Amino acid sequence: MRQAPCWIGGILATATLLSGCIASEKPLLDGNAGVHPIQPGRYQVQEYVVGNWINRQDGRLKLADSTYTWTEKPGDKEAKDVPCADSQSTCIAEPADALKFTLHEIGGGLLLAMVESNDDRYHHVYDLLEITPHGAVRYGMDCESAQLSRGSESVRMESTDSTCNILSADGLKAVARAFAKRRFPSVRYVWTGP
Amino acid sequence: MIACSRSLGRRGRLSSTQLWRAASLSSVAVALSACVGSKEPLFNPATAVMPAPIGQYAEEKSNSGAWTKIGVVAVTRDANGYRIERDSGSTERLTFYPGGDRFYVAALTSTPDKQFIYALFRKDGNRFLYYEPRCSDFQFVRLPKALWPVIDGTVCEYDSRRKLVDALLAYASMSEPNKRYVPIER
Repeated sequence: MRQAPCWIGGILATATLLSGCIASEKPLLDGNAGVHPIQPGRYQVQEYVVGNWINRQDGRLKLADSTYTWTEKPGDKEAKDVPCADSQSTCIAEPADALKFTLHEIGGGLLLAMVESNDDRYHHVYDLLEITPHGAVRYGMDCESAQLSRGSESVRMESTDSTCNILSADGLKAVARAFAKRRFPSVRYVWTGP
Repeated sequence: MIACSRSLGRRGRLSSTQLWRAASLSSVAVALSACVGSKEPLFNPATAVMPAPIGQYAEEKSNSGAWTKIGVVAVTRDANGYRIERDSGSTERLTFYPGGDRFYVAALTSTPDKQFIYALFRKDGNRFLYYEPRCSDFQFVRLPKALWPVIDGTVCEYDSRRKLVDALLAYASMSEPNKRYVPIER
């Protein structure tokens, strides 16, 4: 079975992919009840390297209804226009790397991002974000580290193919809080303009 | 026992493209989960201790709070350390040094590339809890700034024994053990 991509968004995806995702077969959060505390616009992506934030690529965040779309290829020339939902008009296609997600507050300033995955089994993957004065940080939750976090050891999860399959929303929130308590965020998004 | 590796190379991070390619290669994935280590030996083998009785131990891994046996290791004495032989046939040589509060720093002394890598055990009754920090996780753990490692390639490095021990203890205070070893009664 193919391994679920944790977060198709550059540097952090690679790290989490290698040590497994936090995922579920069914949505553990209500995708229609997403919050939108992060301002759409352009962001500079920075990677945490032992106390320093190193500039990486930049990207663009869009918001439609409660769904965010993140892309690091805002000017993707390979993206082809596609028919809109009404089949009558033509819509501008998303870049190939476009990542759609919803955000869900879990308290303490933390937000869970729920991403739809095209994995055979795990249709939803999760990551943890926190709002900052200049944008947001993302923790890059991965299965291996989540299992080492104090407070997540009693959460029911099935660990297969390096993926933590979480079985309940409460369990997911407990894992996320435990993760944030133990680890620094891995990636920072700094707002650079609309 | 110590499954991490220093073998991937010592300079720089992989590019995203390289990492995506690496994701399909399980051997590389293991190598990416590199260790906490040092370029020079940080412990004097003459000060090694022997806290574990020799014999066979069940190797157990936690799954949602329940410990599950995943293998057996045979522990024999080897000079001032231990020789660990897994039921799969692989062997390692570890030396133990006191870390305080029933903790022991384990130094892997049989790496093919003659490097020095470390893990942590805690004696829990007659069992041993095992903490194996992987640099890919360890570098993000909320350690005090004074205990942050130097990242050399994929390795979290220390050049001071005191700093290494304090960092490992701080790591263990925030982490669940990776495995535990339970003596098998004869």
